[in-house]
Amino acid sequence: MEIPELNAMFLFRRRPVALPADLRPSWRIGLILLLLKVCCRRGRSTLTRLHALSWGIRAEQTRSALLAVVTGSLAHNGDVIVRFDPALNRAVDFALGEQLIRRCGGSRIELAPKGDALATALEAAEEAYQTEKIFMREIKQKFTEGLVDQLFSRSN
Amino acid sequence: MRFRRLEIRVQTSDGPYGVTLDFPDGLVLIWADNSMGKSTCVKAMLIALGMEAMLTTSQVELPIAPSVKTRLESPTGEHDVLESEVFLEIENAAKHRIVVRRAIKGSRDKNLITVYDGAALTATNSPGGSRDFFVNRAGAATRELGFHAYLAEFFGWELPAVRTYDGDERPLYFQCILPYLIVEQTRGWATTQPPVPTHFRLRDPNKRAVEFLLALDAHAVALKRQGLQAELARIDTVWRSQFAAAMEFAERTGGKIFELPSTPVATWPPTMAVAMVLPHGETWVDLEVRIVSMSAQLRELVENEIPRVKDISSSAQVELTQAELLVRDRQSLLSRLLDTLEMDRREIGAIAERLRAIDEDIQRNKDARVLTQLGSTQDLAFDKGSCPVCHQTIQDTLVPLEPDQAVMSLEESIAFLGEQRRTYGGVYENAKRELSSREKQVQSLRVEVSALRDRVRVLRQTLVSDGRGPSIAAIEERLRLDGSIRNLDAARAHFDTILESFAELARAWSTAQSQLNELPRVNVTTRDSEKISSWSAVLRDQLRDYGFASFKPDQAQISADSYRPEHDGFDLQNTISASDLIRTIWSYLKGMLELSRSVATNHPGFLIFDEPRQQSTKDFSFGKLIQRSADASAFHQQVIFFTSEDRNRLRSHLDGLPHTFYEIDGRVLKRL
Repeated sequence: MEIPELNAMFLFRRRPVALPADLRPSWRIGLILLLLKVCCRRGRSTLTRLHALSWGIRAEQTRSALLAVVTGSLAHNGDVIVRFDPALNRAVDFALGEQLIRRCGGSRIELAPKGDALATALEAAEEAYQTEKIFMREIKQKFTEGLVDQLFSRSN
Repeated sequence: MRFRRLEIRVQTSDGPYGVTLDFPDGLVLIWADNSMGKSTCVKAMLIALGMEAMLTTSQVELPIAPSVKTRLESPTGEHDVLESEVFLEIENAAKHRIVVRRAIKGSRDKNLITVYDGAALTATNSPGGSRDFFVNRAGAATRELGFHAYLAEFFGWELPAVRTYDGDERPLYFQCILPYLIVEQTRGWATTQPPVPTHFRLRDPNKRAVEFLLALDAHAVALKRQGLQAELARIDTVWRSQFAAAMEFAERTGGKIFELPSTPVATWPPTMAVAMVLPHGETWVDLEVRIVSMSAQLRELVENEIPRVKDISSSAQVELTQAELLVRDRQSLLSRLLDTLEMDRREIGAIAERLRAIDEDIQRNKDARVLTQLGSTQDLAFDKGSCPVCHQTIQDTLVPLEPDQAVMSLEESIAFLGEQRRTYGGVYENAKRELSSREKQVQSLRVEVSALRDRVRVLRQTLVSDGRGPSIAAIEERLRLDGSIRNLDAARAHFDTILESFAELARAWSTAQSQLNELPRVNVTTRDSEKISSWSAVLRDQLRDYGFASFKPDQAQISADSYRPEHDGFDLQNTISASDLIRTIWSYLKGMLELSRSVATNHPGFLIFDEPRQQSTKDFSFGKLIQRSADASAFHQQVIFFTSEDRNRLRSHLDGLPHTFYEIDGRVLKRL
């Protein structure tokens, strides 16, 4: 059967794909800077703690779990499984490349002056990272490296 | 209306000072040198008429020179003003004269204006009675003791009602009309249309003033249109609130109303009949049908005498079996419905969850946008799509994608998510509606099941009771039916009154709509456009006379829409030279005066210019203005100029023209 309409050249074009914002470098870098600024003493953290914080802040359930860890109100049989997100490593790499953060000692990273300025601007920008900021102000700097160690020794 | 005499009296520490000016018909020129007190005279006239709102918004200070308020300068030095007053004698079209008197400084209340009946200033015979009126207070233009209400009556004016920005109606204030008749120097020469006070919050005061002065029909049409639009808005509001009330009523009775329009319609009843339905099992039944069927049942029961138990025990047995079956049937239907209800609820929860997720993602995209904006000042490489270390092109993502797969930009993402949000919002609303309808069905089914259970119970009771007694089941059934019918009847009566109120609104709506359609498309009628075109002609004629040069005077005309002078459909104000602006103001205002000679208007037939030669308008132009104004006496009109032009040139301009010329040497206010 001959269908004249089909006698045309086909052209396939790839449409841009929708991407959740937390997988964008810009959103995640902003989050890292804010976490270092608000939740880490002297803007320094191990990568592990950053992973735990970044995991904890991203959804309602994980937020309450992290808060329970911080306040020590976690049920005895409660188990927290922190998921390591490879996207965070890439974001950290980008931030290192941009010299927003820098390596400090062996395993830790810290805010570089450029990153510190950007984090301060982000803190002041009221409309940005609203939910995240509320949460950060709640846990403050109480999620210490010690707690991180406890958390992981517990789940192991 | 004509001015007849102005008297200013100032009591100073040096004795009385003052000035008296008489104003006959025709052209009157008052000459005095600069800053000697001419404008004080004009302002005193305005103040005497309670028009200070034309000059200031202050309610405390009268806007007039210190020479009548605080310190008067005279050739003998400065003297303190102890008291001052202004008197103005005016005459109306019926040749009736009154004198108004107002204190400027002194113990008398400055918001009081005393009116003496008769020519108290110019005639020697004693005046008639006097009355006090107030100005500057709410009601000055409407109440009997308000001065402007009195003045309107004296002028023979019926001031039209105009709308304010607050939605009220007020009379068009005198203060909005007089700027077209008296051009005062400090503000009057700046715009083609006179400056009209805005603090009264009247809508389009300039248009209304012109329409009134030239007695145009446009205002009546516009007012009618405004009134009708307000009426339509009112009906719309009432309709909506009635609609909400009707829906609420349906909700209360556990039913729904079909086909009731939520916004006003003109045809009533609507093509699709408005109906109220009640749930019945899994379907919806019309209220009316329900009442009829229940009534039929009841009638049947009433017609048969209440049976004895022994007569009906076998049929009651059958009925009991049926009723029990029905209970089971309904029960299972109910549990099915409850299952669906639960599913619906879960679905709604899922949709709400999804909506939350979308909202969060939108927020994060916006966060990323903020960071990008902030980061742009720091010159970040990944914003430009390249790696900060190796400078190769990278995608705006943290997860690996297929090669060549593009990522939506932030803006695209936000738009994309917004679209999703809209879709899910619609789905959510829809699901909510469905849920509420399902809940109603469940509720009504529960009622039915409980009624059926009662039935089973009374049937059982009947079967075990004394065989000679009446059937409890039959009695109970009758009572139940009777009660339900009564409830439904009340609901129907209420529903009918609701429908009746909508019918009334629909009638009002259709009347207002058709009246609105009957109004002319534009507010201007033929009679109006004739007036405006002759006004335009007089304007052009004068512009030619006065030597208007910014463009060909033939191209000027007055807009039938805004009543402002235009050139090729554009407002004149910004396209002409400063001196041509003055010529235009002369022509515009004097045009109204000249127009009133040939057609019926409300123009009172006088015009006062304070220092008309502004912006170094050529002396030749001013001469022409004087010549053209001299014919005022022939029409019993009055044109008054206050000027400080060169006296000799003035005399030569006035040569051979009918006029009155006052020359005041030195200060206008002199020792008496």
